[in-house]
Amino acid sequence: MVKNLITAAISLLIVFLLCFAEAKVQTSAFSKMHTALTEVYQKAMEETATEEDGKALRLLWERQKNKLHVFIPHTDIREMDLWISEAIYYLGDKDYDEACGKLEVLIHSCENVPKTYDFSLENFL
Amino acid sequence: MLTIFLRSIAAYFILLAMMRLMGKRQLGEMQPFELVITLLIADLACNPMADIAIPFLYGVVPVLALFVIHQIISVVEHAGAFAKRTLSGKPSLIIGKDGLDYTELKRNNLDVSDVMEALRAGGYFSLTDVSYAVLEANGNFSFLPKPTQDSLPENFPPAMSLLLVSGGKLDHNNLKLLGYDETFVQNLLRTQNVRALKNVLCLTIDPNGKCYLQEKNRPGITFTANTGDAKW
Repeated sequence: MVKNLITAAISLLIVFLLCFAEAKVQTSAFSKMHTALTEVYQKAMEETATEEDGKALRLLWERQKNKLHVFIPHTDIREMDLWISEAIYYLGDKDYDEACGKLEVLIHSCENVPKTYDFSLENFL
Repeated sequence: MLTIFLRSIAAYFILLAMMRLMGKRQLGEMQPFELVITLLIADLACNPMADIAIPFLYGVVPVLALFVIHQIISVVEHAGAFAKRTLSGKPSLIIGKDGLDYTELKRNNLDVSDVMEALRAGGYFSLTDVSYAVLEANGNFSFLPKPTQDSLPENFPPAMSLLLVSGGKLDHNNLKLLGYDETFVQNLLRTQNVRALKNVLCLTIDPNGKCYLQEKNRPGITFTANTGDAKW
């Protein structure tokens, strides 16, 4: 009985640590991306954003997604990759209307993807 | 490919560790809650093994969750008779001294052909070959064969034991079957110089009065008691 309780407690501790790590990594990664995307979006609205801004975004995303791969499905990460690539293309082409559209999708994803994995009644059901 | 290969190996060892920690019952006869866990655990571990788009933790965490449930239920199951009955069910006496018990058959959704099939699987080819048949909580049948002419004297007909005390606690249902109360048990224990019920690991009795008594940390003893008009 004692062994059962100890092993259950250790397992619960591992699960809680993983939950805590997941929340921390997700919040940090998407929060950083959100800030960077908002800045580039502002610049795109002012028509001052460049391809370099887009590439800096991609670099930031590459660093974040290495940690995110452990906690969220790779399909969600791939979605972000695709949208960033499109945004970079339109920034390089100075097509700011299209670029803003892509950046807006990315900002929306940064706000909503973490919510998909949050603990909530909607996700539970 | 290499990722899938390595995930499969990791999942295998994690499952092996879980099954070993859960105990031998997972491998042998399972209680209902153990069967549920065994069914789920294999499926949960498979998903990240075969699909590398799914994080490996999506297989590990559900397995850990099931493991925690199993450990807690194992503790709760031993907390008392009610918990064990609720979680694991209780055995049913299908064949008794009066033969097949129709009520128990219906209660367990069995018919006579099911009992006959279980008899044959147990190596008995007639209802007259067994004195008692118990349908255990894990779905297995246990049989007490009728003795042959030479194996038992006439004044010791085949008899099935009843558990009166388990882990220091009285089994009130079995006591009611016997038609006695706690005083009967206390008197029995007094005859064997056992001072407290809580010291008794196991006490069984059969209609012939043959008792098996074992105190905690002591060897078991058998003795004969007067069961009077035992009902079972």
